[in-house]
Amino acid sequence: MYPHERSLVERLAGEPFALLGVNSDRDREKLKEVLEEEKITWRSWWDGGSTSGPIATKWNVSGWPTIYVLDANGVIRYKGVRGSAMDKAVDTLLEELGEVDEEQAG
Amino acid sequence: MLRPIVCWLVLLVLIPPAPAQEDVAQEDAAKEPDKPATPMEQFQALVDEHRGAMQKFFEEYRKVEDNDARQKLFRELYPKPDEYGAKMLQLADDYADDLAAVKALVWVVSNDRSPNSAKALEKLTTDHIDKPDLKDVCRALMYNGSAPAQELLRAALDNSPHEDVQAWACYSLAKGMMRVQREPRKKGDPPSEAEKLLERVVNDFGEIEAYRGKTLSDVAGGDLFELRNLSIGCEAPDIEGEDIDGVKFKLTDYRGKVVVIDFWGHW
Repeated sequence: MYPHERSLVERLAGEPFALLGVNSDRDREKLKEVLEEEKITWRSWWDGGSTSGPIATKWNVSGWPTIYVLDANGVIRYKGVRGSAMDKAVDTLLEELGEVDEEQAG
Repeated sequence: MLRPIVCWLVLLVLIPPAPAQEDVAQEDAAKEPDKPATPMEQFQALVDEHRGAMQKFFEEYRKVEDNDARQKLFRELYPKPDEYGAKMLQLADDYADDLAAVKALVWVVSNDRSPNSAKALEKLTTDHIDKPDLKDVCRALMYNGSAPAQELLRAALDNSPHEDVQAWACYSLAKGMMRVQREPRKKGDPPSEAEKLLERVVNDFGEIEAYRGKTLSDVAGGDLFELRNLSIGCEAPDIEGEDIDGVKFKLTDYRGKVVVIDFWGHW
């Protein structure tokens, strides 16, 4: 599971990029095992153990997963993009930031 | 999240099978030889027939494991929604002044994805906008962007005498607009129509029960916050919390980087 997220994080290692999760799983200890098994290397907030945690509630999240993409100024630039659309969004914003080597972005 | 998001079989399984005893009793009642069945009885008979056919399909489906055989069974035995929908539309035409007509049209909207659905929506709009049954229809049309659906919602908001029908029409219209809103929002922008509709939900219909113990004021309030602060073009509000190891961190720690925020779960 999560191969797309893993490959994105690997591809952009060293770039000014971060994948941050908001996690809704109930059991924090079990979740640590999941992170290890699934090789989830990116950081997540643990939102209190449900889909109605404080962060998800504030951000009005009703469907899972929900994705937001922010530029380097913290401005929301894309919402609800997944898969290759998400990759494209991130690459576009990194280009804007001027730090992606165009050849490597592939 | 482990399962594929759209699985037609999941949709099918959501229809609960009717208890067998009741079906037999209703069949007997509808077979009374002397009295012609009333429109409501005819409507119910058609609902029962459809449900019975669904049950039969599922019984056969469970016996078969091979994927090709399953698809064949689906093609041959699954009760075709558009065929039942056509019968329901006919019933609605034949008994246009009876309550059964409304029930039949609502059935079409709920069960038939063919062009019958648009016809049913049009008839509900022109002939039945005053009925309380429209509440569930308005609620169900939240993500239906088609012209007949949007026209029904507007007509229900403007003309229904029932507060809960108006409330759901208002909320559904707003949600539909939010969904298609893709233009960036700038500070100082005048409120969009979606925003005005959501404000109306909060002000005029806030007390009405929405989902899971929340009122429309709660849910529309959440949507207003999202529209005003989480639209494309908005500076994201900060997030403060603990990571899975209990270490505190904030979204603003990552300024200067492109960030993907992914609301997820391993369930």
